[in-house]
Amino acid sequence: MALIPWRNRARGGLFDLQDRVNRMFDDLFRGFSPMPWAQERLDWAPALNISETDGAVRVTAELPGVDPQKVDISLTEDVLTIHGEKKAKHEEKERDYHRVERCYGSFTRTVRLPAVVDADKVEATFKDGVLTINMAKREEAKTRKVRVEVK
Amino acid sequence: MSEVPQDTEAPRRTYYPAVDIYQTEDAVVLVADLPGVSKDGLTVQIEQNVLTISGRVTAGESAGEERLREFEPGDFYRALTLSDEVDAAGISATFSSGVLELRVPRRRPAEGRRIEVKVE
Repeated sequence: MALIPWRNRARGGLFDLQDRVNRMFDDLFRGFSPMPWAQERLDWAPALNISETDGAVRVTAELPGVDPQKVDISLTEDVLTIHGEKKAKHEEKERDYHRVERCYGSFTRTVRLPAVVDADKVEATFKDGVLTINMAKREEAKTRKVRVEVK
Repeated sequence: MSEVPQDTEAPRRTYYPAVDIYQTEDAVVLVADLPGVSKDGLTVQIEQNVLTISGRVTAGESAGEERLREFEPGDFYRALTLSDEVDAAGISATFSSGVLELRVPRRRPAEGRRIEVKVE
C-alpha cells in the first residue's frame, strides 16, 4: 500500500511549477518532426483536471474529436494512463491549409492520482468531447476524520 | 491547445477556440475544437461576411477539492471574416464530440466571356 504523500499547499505550488516546466520540455522535444510542414505537430497532450472528495477521485480531460471507443484507460494502484488518438478527418493531400491551430495525432497522459483507487469501481463517460473518469477510492485510502483527544 | 482567455476580469472566462481552416476544390472548411459545448450551447451566425462562433459551457465537472487544474471551464467565442470568394449563404455545419465543422462553398470563378465586337 503506497503512503499518500502529505502535500503542503505552499510546497505544492513549486512542485507543480517544476512539473509543468518538465512537461513543457517534454512537449517541446516530442513535437519535433523530421519534416516540419504546416505547423503540424506529431502528437499532443490533452489538458487534465483532477479533483478529489473523501471517497472518490475524478479526472476530466478535454478530448474533442476523439473517438471514445478508441481511448485506452488503464490504472495501476494510483497511476492513471489515458491513451488515444485524435484523427484528422480527411485526407491531407487534397487540401490547402490556411490555418492549423488544432492538434491531432496520438496522445498519452500518465498521472499520479492523489489516492489509490479501486480499479473495479471506475466509471468513464464521454460527453461533448470531454472525458470524465470517476474512480472510487480504496477503503484504506478514504479520508477519515480523526478525533483529537485533548488530555 | 491554443487558448487565449479574453476576459480575465469576470469570473467566467471566454476562450478563443483552436480552429483549422483549409480549402478543397469546392469549399472552404473550418474545423473548431469546442470541448464541453453541447448542441444547445452552440451558436453560429453569419452577418455580411463575418462568421461568429460562440459556445456556452455548462461547468460543474469538478467535485471536491482540486488537485490538478490544466483547463478552466469557460465559454468559447471567435469571429472570422470570410473572403468574398465564398458563398456565405450556402454554409452548412455539423457538430459532434465538441468539434464543429463548417463548410462554405466557394463561388465559381466568373467564367470569361467572349464579347463580339460589331464593326459599323
